[in-house]
Amino acid sequence: MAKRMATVGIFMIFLSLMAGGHEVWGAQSPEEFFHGKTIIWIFSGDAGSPGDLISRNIAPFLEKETGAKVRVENKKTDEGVNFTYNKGSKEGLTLCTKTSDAIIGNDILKAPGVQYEADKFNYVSDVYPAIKVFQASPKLPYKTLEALRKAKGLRAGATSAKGSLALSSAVTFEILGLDGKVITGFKGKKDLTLALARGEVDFMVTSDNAAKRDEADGYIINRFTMGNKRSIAVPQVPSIAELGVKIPKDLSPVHKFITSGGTAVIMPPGVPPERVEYLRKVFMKLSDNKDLQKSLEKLTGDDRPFVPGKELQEEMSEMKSDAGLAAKLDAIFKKYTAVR
Amino acid sequence: MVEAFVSGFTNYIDPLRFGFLLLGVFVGIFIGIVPALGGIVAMSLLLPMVFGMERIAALSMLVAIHAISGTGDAITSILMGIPGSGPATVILLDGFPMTRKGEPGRALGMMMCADTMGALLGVGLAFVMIPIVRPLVMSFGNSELFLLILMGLSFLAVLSKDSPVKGLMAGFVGIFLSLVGYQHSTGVDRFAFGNDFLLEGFDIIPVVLGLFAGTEMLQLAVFNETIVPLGVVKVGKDLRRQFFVGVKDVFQHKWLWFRSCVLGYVMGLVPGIGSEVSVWVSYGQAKQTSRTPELFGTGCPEGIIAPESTMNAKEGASLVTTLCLGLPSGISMAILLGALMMLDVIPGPSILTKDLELTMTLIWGLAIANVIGAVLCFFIVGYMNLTWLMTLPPRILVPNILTIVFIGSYTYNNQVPALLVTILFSGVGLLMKQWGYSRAALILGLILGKSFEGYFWLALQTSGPLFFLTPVSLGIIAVIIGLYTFKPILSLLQNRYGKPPLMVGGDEEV
Amino acid sequence: MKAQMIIPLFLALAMTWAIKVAWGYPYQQAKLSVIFVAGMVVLLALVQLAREVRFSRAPRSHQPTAEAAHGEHGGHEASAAQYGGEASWMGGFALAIYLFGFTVAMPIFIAAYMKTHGTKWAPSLITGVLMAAFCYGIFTWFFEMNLYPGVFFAK
Repeated sequence: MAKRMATVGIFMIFLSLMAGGHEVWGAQSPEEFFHGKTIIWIFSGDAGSPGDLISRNIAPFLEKETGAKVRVENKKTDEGVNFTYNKGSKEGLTLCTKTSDAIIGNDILKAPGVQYEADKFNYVSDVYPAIKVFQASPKLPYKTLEALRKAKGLRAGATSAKGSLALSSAVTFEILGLDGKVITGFKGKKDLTLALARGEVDFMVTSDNAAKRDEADGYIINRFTMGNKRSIAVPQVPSIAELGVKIPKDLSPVHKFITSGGTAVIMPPGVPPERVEYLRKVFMKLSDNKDLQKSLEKLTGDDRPFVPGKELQEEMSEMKSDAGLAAKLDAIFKKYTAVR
Repeated sequence: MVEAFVSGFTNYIDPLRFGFLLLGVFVGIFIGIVPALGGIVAMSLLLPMVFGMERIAALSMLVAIHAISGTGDAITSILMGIPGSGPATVILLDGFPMTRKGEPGRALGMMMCADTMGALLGVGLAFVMIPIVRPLVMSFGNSELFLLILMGLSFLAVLSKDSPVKGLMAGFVGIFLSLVGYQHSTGVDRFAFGNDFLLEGFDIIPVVLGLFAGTEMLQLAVFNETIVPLGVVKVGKDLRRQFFVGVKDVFQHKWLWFRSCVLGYVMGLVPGIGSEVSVWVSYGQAKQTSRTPELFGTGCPEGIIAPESTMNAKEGASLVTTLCLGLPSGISMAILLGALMMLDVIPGPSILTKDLELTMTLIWGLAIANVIGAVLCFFIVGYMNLTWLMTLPPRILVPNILTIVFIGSYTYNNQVPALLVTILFSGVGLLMKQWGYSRAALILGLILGKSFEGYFWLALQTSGPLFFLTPVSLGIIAVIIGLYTFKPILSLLQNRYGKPPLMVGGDEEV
Repeated sequence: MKAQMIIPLFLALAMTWAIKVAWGYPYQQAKLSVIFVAGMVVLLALVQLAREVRFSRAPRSHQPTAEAAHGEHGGHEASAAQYGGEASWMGGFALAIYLFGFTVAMPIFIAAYMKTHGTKWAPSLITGVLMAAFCYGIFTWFFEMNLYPGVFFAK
């Protein structure tokens, strides 16, 4: 009897060690972990939007690289990011896509409903690093920066108050010394594009993902990029640095804020670092995948490489740690908003 | 242009392309009939498959899903009183009462005929409209959109003619509910008090499911009634006969059908006007111009023909705008746009020169899908004998329908509090129905309220206080005034000159 | 107080409160629409209240609902208790979904409802299981949608 009990006991201990043993004696490698699992990839926005299409394009390639099944889901704007932060898989089976300037902007400006801290996410990659472009209405008579500076009552279009478009426009007014207001309330970027084409607003400052196509269709005119570099999408458009614009030192943080931006892929806080690193490597590998780039080029118009997650992580931490950034952005927005 | 028009049709002689179109129709009907699903779900799931497919086959499948899922929505709306989308709510107002009177086949026949003929007319209208779509879209700015929505809201008065005060109250409550949440233009939290769920505002689907489906299920349970009284509709033969009566109804109201199609088409060309706005405007103008407006809401044919014609014509127009301008008018068109780009088709003005044949092919695809959908619907209704569903006792029907309703409510945005909204509005709907308040008016206010406010401030800020002085705006104002004054003027003329009035309304006489 | 007066009275009070809250919003753009719309509701509610008070002559017990007046449900009316009973099933179902998720709550709700309303055990259970299987198959397996797993079963 005792012998039998001992045998059963040893067998039970053996089983439990097998079941949990790999956790105790040595973790699975990330490759082994992801193989056969299901990754939920949340897009924080509507189906069919550029970020959603990019995620859906990358998903099958990610499946091939990792051996995991990838399922893309849509959640409403901030809800996706909140979900990822609070309820996302700590094992690393949740990804989320959202524009990086919206992630950090909503956090530091304390937008209602935000339940996360932007710098605590694990940033895997920026799959579409964007350059901000000043897009003018074809009906706007001012063709040069000097002419714009002399104009009165310019109207910039934006969607949400203190959203990326609104802040970019407000900071542009401040940096370039333009006179005018930011009109918020447009439903989306496509509505703004139409409004520009009609001449209802004079300009918007937005990422360059549709810059080439919208200009070819006659809706907008790309005047200049807001940073130090030209855009790969519209390489003929000069940067403000080339036009001789010097950014004052006190405006440098806000300028950096509006010019850093892309489509960030994030994981929740608390994911084992080796798994984060593994996916970062996978995404950089995908960045060099010719088939994927070809597919993305059809969607976006160009094949810009992904930005490494570590670089994006550092950028986000830097912006979050700047204590005065939020106040400066707030003050500039209040100065130029048309809302009364 | 003529060549593209003809080859657009002949492209479907190819068995592969026709096969994928047919697949899209089947998927669309299935998805539309299950209230919790929508065309967007199927389209986003199938999107990755599109890469590498023959492009006409791939695009036709997506277009068919989009076209027919709305039809499937309308089927459940009519037969079971479960609206799966905002536009399907309008169909329910007269479609479900017609079913309860024992004429589900007639309602479905009207719906399919109006749909199919609307889609076929859309092909012809595309031929005319494509050259002018861009200038037309460019002439509808924030001011014009605001006035179009104002026209829609003006129908609050029409919807509630029985009791104007109660109806207007319901409508304004609907508008108030639309204002709850985060106001994006100012960043102000209005009546959400920081609650995540309320910050996004009240979604239309959980409200509609509660107000209509939930209320109906409660009443069926309490009064122990079936959807259709037992013995009223026998079997398939009755339904098939009813189906053709419904088809005949459309021909008897051909001017209403034509007017509604044109209205839907024009509104569909302009991005920014959702399906909900156009079908409500259509319903309102049908009631306003009808000889028997008091019958609306009780199973009136005009109440089905007008919104259904508008809805389908609008889809054709949205497709034209998406293809020719590269501007999607909604989420499903955005997905289609993505598919186009993945298949090396660049939508936009250049498509008229480089890919006009493809444009016409997809427009024909929409029409052919509707024809196939109508035939399929006829066989489903007439030969599968679905009347047993409508004569199930409430102890079986109610829990199963409520299950579908709750799934629909939850899956709309994957939020559990949506279930509470549905339950709350089931109670609200019950009270409204009992005490004579118009649920349709509340929904109309909820759908249009936010856009009404948004476009008003945009129009004011972009164009100043005299924003309504553009030619198109003045034209819309004239239409609004005309809609409400033509009947009194006609009566005045009749009294003065003693002649029978010329009816420019829902009937066939002109 | 007549039952018909409750709705306009409730709305008048609620919208008055809403106007008070909206008055404190920082921007005209945020407050004006709310004040206008809520104000209209208050006005209309007061008009309706006045009509209920002034024109309603029938004693309370004989005032039919709008539905009964239109001949719906054979002219019969139901009591609040009857509606409350059925509504509590809806509430209970929602609670079960919240706690146990759709997959568990669906068959239990359907079977329990059918049994308590007069169906035998076997058909009640079979219907519940079949419906749950259908929903699971379509939504979760085929369309890969996430049906809420419930508080107890959430990971």
